[in-house]
Amino acid sequence: MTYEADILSEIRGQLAQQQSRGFEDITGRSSGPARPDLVLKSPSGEVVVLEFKHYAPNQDLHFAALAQVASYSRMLSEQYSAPARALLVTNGRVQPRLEETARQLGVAIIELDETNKSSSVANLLQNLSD
Amino acid sequence: MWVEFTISHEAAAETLAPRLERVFGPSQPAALSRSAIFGPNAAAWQSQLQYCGESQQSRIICYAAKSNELQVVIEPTGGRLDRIFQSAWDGITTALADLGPVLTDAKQVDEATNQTIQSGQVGVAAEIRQKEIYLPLSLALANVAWLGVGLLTWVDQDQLRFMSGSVTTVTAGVFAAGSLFLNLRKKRLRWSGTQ
Repeated sequence: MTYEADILSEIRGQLAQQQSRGFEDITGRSSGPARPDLVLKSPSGEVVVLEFKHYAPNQDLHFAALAQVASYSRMLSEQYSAPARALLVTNGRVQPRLEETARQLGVAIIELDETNKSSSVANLLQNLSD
Repeated sequence: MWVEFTISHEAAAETLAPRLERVFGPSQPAALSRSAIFGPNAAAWQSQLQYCGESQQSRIICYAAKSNELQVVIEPTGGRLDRIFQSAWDGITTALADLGPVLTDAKQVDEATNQTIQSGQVGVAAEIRQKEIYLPLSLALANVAWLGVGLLTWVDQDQLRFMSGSVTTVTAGVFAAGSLFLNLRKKRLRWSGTQ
């Protein structure tokens, strides 16, 4: 199983255990070109776009990943006529310059600890609810 | 589909933009709006990039993540993909020639599935994995070893005749070695599937 598929299954599992915390999984319902790994609709109607990027150890997060998730978020926000939140979940190293660019684009970068997947995913879901 | 390159290099005192413009032509920030992944946020990206250019066959977008690393996205718009990617890589190595550019990562991403479909590499390891290189080269090396053992042990008569049987294999090996050498000099980009 790939890293992305593994994390996705963990997130879906934890969401199911917690009766989805009011989040609805709407992945795959998009009619446009956006293909994020996971799209959730929050209880407040916000669209949450999650994209996972896995890199070899000590590799930097690529700016294309940031562009991709920011673009998906914009497209889905227009499609659902709702505010969107973009989350980029990665094990890649995040350079300060890229972090600054992400802030300007409104993308939250979440660094995942691969050694403790369950707790990382739990933290991620806690962030979603906040 | 697009390609992502990560290139490490010696830190440059100045911005890389003039170097990239010398090779790829003047920057065309307006081209960003036609990009599949940068288009929706083109305005926000413009001030962040080192370079954005467009030709009839591709768009090339460069970002300096840190002083010794250049990240590049190439979006093909027409023509043969392998040539487009090789040409972009050649252009980058020319632009950064005195900074010792090293390709640390290259991948082709399919936008329909959002998956990495091929990984790219340059260098000996990538060349050796090519069938047209390793087959003739390994056969030639095995033949030379066989010749050596034969000549040093049991072949004491008709040595030329014994060796003549290996001429074609060894010649093919020499050509393969020549091709390997040329590809290394040209920094040829090799792709292999990841799925």
